[in-house]
Amino acid sequence: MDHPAIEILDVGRVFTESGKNLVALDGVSFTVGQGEIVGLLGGNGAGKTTLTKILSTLLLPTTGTARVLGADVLRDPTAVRARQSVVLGGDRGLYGQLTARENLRFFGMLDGIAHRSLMARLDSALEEVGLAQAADRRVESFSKGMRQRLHIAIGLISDPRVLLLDEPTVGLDPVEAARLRASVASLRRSGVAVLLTSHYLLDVEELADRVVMLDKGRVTHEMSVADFSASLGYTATVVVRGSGAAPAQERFRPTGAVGVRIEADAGGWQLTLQLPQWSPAVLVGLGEALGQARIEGMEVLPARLEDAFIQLQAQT
Amino acid sequence: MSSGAPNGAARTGFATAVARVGARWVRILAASARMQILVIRSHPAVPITAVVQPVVFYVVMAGQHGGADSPAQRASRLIAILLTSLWGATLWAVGGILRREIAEGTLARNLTSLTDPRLVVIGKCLGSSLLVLTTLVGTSLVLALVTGARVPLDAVPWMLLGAVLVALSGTALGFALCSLFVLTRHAVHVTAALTYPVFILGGLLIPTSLIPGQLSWLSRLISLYWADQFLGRVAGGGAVPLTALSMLVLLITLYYVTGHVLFRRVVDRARRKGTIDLG
Repeated sequence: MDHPAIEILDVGRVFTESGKNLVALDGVSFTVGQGEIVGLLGGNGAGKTTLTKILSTLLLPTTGTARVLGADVLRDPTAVRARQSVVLGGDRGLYGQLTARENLRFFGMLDGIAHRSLMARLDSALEEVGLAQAADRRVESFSKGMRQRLHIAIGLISDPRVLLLDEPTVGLDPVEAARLRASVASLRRSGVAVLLTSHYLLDVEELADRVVMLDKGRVTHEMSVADFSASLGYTATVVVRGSGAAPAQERFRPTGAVGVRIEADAGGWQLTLQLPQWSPAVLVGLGEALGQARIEGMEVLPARLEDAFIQLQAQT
Repeated sequence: MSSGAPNGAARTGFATAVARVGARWVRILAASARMQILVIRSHPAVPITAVVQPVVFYVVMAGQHGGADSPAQRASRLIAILLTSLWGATLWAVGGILRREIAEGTLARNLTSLTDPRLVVIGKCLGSSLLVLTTLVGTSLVLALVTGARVPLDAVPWMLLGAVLVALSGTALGFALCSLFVLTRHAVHVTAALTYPVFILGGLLIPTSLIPGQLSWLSRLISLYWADQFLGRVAGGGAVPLTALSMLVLLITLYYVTGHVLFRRVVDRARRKGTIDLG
């Protein structure tokens, strides 16, 4: 039977603290298909970590069911652990007195990888995350980024079919982050499903097929990344700076802009247009609307997922 | 008869699988033990509890006897000192193992793996016990050479067996204690409450004949009491005390079972209350 990679059905979690009930998750339901990458978004306290803990079998749900490739986190946690890997990220979760290679070998052993196979894969796994040179250095001397890369090597060494990635690019420089995103993208091609929790929306934008947004423990939005971006109502923001008299706002209606803002600037003005689409025809229309205005500069910014996230969060 | 070959093949396959799992467990235990040795080997508490403390104890006790005792009595005294120091060192060396695993985020990682995380904790307790015991045995050998304490040659294999059982006892006790210290908010007080009562009730500081009758049954629950009985008797050239040996093995098993129950509680509580953080 072909199960979804992750199936979350009406999952709730209540914490009791000093006699008070705190609802961390309330009726959360969604699925992640095999080979699909889903971004789990939400502000602090939205319930992302609680959900990741439940899926990684570290926390029991109060209500509902969570399954990984058909295995229930409550009834069959061992099967869940056999099918998925968790990249916890951060500074912790590694043995500082051991070298990178020893950590990788140790956690590989715990994941049940056969000795010969594990030994054969250590070097290539460290190479893939750029730690080959530091393989025999103690982890206590590692930078945050190096620790993060080691976490990823540990998460991937068991060839999981489902991967829970929690803030994978925290602490990585732009080059390393790009390399990591390429590695995760290649996982999709090999059929690995990924639930990606990240505050860096660039990760989600580049990797995810779909986005699930949590707020106060509930799913507020679930949509494709394209729909998520489109939820803004515009795909590009055009900023024009000029001097002299500012053009009238109503001249820009023909461009189809959903938002027009003209602000006085030191010695000039700045026009900000939010456009549903950016095309040569729109550029011509914009030129006509600007007429004889004196233009000092112009830039076109593609709509960012971050803008969509902020807008959707404000709505909820 | 035709099913004999497949059954034989199945048995061989099963045996191979068991051997593989066993080898993996041994590797995990060894790696965990080594890790713990790396953590505590440079800690000043090791020479204090395993070198300075037994030497001071011996000097104090030797002063009371004025050198008029036999080599066998000296050996017996050394054994009591070794076990006394071992208990103090065990409390220090293993008590914080699980707390450290939680604080460093490694328990969360181990709990999400396919291997029973108890194996890692037991391996670390074993590492602590081995380091402390090896250092203590070294100190005792030096003291034995200096003071002329002797054990009969034919007692050596039994002494080695006793040392192995003492190491296992320290590991089992450590496993139970480090789980208990996570479950209670009063780990420091529990440690203090356990230290001297075990010294006294175990018959390590004073003879058990001086313990009031109503409390003497408590001595029987302390593995070090039986270790002292066993090692003291064989070091003195007496017959192997099988009761002491059996009780020692029984109590080690009991401590392991207690450790398993307490560890299960730690994990169950964590899964119910979310007390173990990711990363």
